[in-house]
Amino acid sequence: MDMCILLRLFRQMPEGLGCGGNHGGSTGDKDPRERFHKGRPEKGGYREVTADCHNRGCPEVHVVIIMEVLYYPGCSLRNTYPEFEKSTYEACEKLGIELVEIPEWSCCGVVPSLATDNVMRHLGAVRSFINAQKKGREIGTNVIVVLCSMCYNVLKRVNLILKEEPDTLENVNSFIDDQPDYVPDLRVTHFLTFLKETGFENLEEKVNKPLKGLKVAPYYGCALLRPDRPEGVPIDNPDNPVILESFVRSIGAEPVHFPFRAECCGNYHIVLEPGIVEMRTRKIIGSAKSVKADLILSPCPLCTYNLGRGNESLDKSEQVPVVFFTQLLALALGGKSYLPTEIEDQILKKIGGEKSD
Amino acid sequence: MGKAYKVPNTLTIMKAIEYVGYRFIRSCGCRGGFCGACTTFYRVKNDYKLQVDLACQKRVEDGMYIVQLPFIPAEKPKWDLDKMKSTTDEVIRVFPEITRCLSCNVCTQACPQDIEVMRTIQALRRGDLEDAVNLTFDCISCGACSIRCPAEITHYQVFQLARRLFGKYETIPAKHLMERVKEIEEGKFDDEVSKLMDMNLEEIKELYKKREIEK
Repeated sequence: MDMCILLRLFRQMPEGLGCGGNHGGSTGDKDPRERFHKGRPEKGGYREVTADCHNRGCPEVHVVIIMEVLYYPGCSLRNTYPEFEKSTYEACEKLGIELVEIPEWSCCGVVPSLATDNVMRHLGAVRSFINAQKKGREIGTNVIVVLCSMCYNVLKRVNLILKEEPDTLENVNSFIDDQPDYVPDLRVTHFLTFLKETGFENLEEKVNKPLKGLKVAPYYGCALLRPDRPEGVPIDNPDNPVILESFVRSIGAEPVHFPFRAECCGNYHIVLEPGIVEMRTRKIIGSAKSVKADLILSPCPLCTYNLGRGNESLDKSEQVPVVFFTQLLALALGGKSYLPTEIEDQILKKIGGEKSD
Repeated sequence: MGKAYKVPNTLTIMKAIEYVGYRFIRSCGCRGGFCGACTTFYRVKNDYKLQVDLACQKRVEDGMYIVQLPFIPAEKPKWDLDKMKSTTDEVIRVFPEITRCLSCNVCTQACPQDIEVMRTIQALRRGDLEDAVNLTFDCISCGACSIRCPAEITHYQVFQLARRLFGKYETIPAKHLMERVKEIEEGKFDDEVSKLMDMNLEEIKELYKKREIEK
């Protein structure tokens, strides 16, 4: 059969969207493989599946490329914020991205070792890398996508340290004598970076429910931007990040700039000094409120928890709901957002759309 | 103790200790590999690895030097199963120290029962209670993992809580057990128990000697 290769990032041709009748040749879309790996030496995993075309009258069966990446969930997503993970799966389904969970992943360690000689603290991350390495070789990718900011920060730092310090790598590998050695050729990527590399403009095309008129305050927190040691940890310029703003634009919403977007929420002070966290998060929320934000967008489970505590200490009229960026993404792609009904209704009212299933 | 002994190489560590003339007043229980009382740490010639086995199960090796730990000090927190849910969060609430796990896997290497101890702790971190329960079915609570753990986790108690929660809330109740509990509650064994309670020590000893022994 003469198959038309459709290089769209869809798992299945969504209803109402056809191949454009452009069979046998380019559909105008760039090969996602080219886009993602432009100038990068790493390999990526892809799988080809066939899908029927929903374009009226088109008899062709299309070959759709599904991008496979390794995925590290982290403990917070499993225990505290399942909606963060579920909305991501929902969005990835719509985007033709398959998240392949690293088998038997370990807790990242939460706080990376700050002492150069405390290698023990790296072990959780390294064990996950070893398992990722095995799985990655099976599916042909070396890219790990991480959702949680804290996990990203720890995994990224440990991986960079192991790439840069052969002595530390040898030390770790000789200690872990029940597993094969880790060869540090994996690349740890935050999901936002991954979306950016596959193209925000590409994402824009897939959005079928643009969040028009929704004012979103993108909150970065610390772990995605700091520290820049080892070099390469921040996902964007720490002093003037724009990645979340670009993301917000790509899903059709309006990013609003607020001065506290990269301030620390207070982090683990929530355990012993919750007063500090409440003081800081009230300032962050107040700052977002002052620019008339409908929502605060968070990439981090701990920041989300802390901002929630800040909201609880404020009057209802001063509160700003906090949502994960993937929840808005899933909503904009026409999927299930796993948002509280009340918040989803508010958003839909604002953008004048229908409620999703 | 503190000396080298020559013993036949067919003996277990426990038998060898008795062979050279010692009588166990501790570090010895069921002699069948189930109770976990005879946990023994040892090293063998030309190997840096510290190894752990049950003295009643492990055969002696040439040049083996050993120490037996009859007891691992551990605080057991109180819990009330009726007021808990069958989630890993509950386990973490009772044993917050499991979040200190460094993934060093020394616990697994210490386990005489070959349980994947670290994997279990990580399963609890990942929110997978069922995996944790199934992985630790063979735990005999010897405590070898806990004395080696740099995060000071008392694994065997963590696992017990996981199994209790899962058993109470997630598994189907055993029919025969429910029937027996009902019989007990209805007083089927009350007469026999009160007969025993009225006996003096000599009578009880006599009864014990004459008991039916399973073959």
